[in-house]
Amino acid sequence: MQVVSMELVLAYFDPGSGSLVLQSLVGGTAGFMVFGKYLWVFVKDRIRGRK
Amino acid sequence: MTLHAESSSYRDREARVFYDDAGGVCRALSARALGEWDAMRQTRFFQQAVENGNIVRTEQRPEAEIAPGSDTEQWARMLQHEVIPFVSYPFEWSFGMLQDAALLHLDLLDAALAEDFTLKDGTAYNLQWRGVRPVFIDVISLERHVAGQPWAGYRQFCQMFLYPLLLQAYKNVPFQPWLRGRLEGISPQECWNLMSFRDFFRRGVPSHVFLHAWFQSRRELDGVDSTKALVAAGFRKDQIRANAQGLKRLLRGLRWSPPASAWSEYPEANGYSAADRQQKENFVRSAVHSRHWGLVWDVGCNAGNYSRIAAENSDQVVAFDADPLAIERLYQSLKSNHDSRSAPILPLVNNLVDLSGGLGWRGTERKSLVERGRPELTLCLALVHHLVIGHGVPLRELLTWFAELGTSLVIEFVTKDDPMVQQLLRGRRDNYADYEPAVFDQLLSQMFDVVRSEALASGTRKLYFAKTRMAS
Repeated sequence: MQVVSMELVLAYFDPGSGSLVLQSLVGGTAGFMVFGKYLWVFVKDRIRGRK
Repeated sequence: MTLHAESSSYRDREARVFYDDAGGVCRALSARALGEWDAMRQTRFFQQAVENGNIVRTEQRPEAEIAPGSDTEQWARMLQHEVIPFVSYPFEWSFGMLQDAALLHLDLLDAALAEDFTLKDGTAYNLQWRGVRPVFIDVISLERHVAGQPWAGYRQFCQMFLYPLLLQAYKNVPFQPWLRGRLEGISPQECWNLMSFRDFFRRGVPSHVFLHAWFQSRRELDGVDSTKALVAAGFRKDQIRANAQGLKRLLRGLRWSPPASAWSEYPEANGYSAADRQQKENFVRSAVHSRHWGLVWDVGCNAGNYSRIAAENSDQVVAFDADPLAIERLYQSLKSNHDSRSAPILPLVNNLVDLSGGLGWRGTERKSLVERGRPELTLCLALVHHLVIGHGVPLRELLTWFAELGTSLVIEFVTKDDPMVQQLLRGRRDNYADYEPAVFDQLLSQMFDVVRSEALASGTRKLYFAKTRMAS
């Protein structure tokens, strides 16, 4: 999976990491797929021992 | 041109709000913000929103006029905004006002995303009111959407709009003290802690409250670049739009159904005869029409009957009441019976004996009521006995406060023989020696020029029209 490096554009406050992830789950059916992919990458990275 | 920086406009380093000598509102933009502004003002959604009155009218000032920069801020251009007649804060709005402001916020987000723009935050302080119509004021919050990025303002929106409304709709807890207590609103965890087992099954609670609190508490996410990970997972703006539409459905379905409060039933229970009411309306109307007024306050406005009279001959009426239900009813009534010939009436929840002082950074970010605009005329009808006897405010101090505001007054004094005052005195020792008609007459004459006074036919109430001695 290609990882695009970018910061959340002009977030002059902390948007909350968990709040950003949750948006895939509250963003309709297609969002569940996004969350699944997110989770997969997250777990894979944890197993490999990097964040 | 001398410019004074707005004390609340410091977080976003891409822009800063200033006031000019003539009371105009300007916004200085960085070069980057200028680029966003130039792109955004070409969009259809922005032009339509300005035309419909949903976004504040804004023009570019001449290139030569640039606000002074600093070591870290250099401005590229200035914008000039339409002036909002009276600045108010979310902790002064009623349930329906916060609900309508939230819906406008989401409408703008949705419309912006359709044209590949977004709102970079979700704060309720980006909205103000023209009468009973919300207007979005922070045009620089709108910027080009970067593909794949989630909405940075989602948590802020929940904290400042959604959770306060859920709290009031589901728990019958007025949100105003919560929003005033912390300007950033109610956190997901706090909102979840306030919910019962039954509430878990109510709309919006499992996803926007429970899961939100759970995700926020996951320490595993600390240090993870969630934006990058979501972009990589294929997050799209469609998910933000679906969330915004879901939030709109949720918000539209929220109802606040409180039991009747003492004040909301007051118009029916206040014991006025029809003759008294008519006489009082005539008196107020005569004072209101004695000249044209700029800002008028109606303190203890209740159903807003006299605010409507004040609106006949003034630029702006701000109608205050301590009771959130009274203000909610007034707001809904004004919304459904908007009379474009009258001045705008802004209903606000405010208690004269519990006014907010300066709040936020340096105590100047959110200003006190008086700093936001001194009235030229104040209506204080059927209220003095509640303040003096109900709350123990010394009569002299009350009148001194009005005198120092520099406002003219239409004020009502109700004697101790009146049934409403008798009710207040029940169960209290009457140590209100200052609460006598003769003392009131004397104090008022000392501090104001009393133009006219009139006793109502029932004999227990007297109205006064008193002019300020301060030069306007």
